[in-house]
Amino acid sequence: MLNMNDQETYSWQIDLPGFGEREQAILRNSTALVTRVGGLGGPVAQSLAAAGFGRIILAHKGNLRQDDLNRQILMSRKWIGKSRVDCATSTLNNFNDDIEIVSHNANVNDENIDEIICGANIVFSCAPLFNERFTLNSACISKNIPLVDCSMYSMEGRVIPIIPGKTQCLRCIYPEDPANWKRQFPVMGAVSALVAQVGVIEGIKILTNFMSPSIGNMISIDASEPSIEKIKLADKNINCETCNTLMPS
Amino acid sequence: MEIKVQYKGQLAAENDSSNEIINCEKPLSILELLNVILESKTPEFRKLIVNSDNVPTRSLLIVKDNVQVLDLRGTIIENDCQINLLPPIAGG
Ligand SMILES: [Zn+2]
Repeated sequence: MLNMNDQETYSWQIDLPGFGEREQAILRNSTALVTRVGGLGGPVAQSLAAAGFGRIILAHKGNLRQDDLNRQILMSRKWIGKSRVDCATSTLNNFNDDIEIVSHNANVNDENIDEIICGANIVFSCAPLFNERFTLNSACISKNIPLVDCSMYSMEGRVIPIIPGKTQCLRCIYPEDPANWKRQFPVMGAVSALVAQVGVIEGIKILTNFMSPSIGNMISIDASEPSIEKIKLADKNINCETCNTLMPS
Repeated sequence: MEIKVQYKGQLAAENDSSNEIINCEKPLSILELLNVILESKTPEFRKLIVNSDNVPTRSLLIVKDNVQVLDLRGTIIENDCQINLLPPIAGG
């Protein structure tokens, strides 16, 4: 199933109880979409590359700023002013040149989502805006693609594994657009990286059936305590307009 | 009974503390608990809990002992418990 090169590269991972060549081959044949490559999406993409995902799609518009550097670990001070997604691609290619990186210098929106998500088996939502998160949520539900929604604020983070047709989607959880949340959020890079790692682990579990993904739960992370708790979410809302776009298989 | 309320995200930032203990003599619904909480809070805090019609905002996630609560009138607190209030966050 795995070629000798992959057997060598991922030998320590394949040693995990319950995670073998079959699971590694699933990752090798998988495509993950990561939206934004900032404080959360950057470490998500890096850990997907380390885990051996065969293809990673990145989407992030704009150029690197100095004040990104406390958390955007795929970047470098010498790249200030350059395209973030190009920088992220360069770092990931240097780290692992045996995977394919597809980059889009764009943030997802209703017009480009079909092109950007094409071929993805799983999506990691790491965007700092709710409209992007809702666009991804709608696309994942209608196309039956698992979504790992990762978010953070200050010393907290949340990871929500969303399985179309089985769990609540983001619209079930937030039926109306959040009115009074602040776009600006305080962030320590280590906290966003912590949230990212929890998200990647959930994504790997979902794709490979390794251990038990936290389906139907939100994982709530609080680095100030510190604590990682599972919150049992309600069943999906049978009246959710987004969930009802899922075509019966 | 003792209700431990934990404020998350912007709610913690708008409050002096991320925790509060509320002692009650008799059972009360989640909706009644929210009203007790709001008696002593700032307008900014209030806006994260209820809308201009004083109805709890549907984007506030309410959790009782690690289980999401949807029925705010029908869910009655009768024993010591922990209530977490999680306003939406989207930091990436
Ligand atoms: Zn839904």
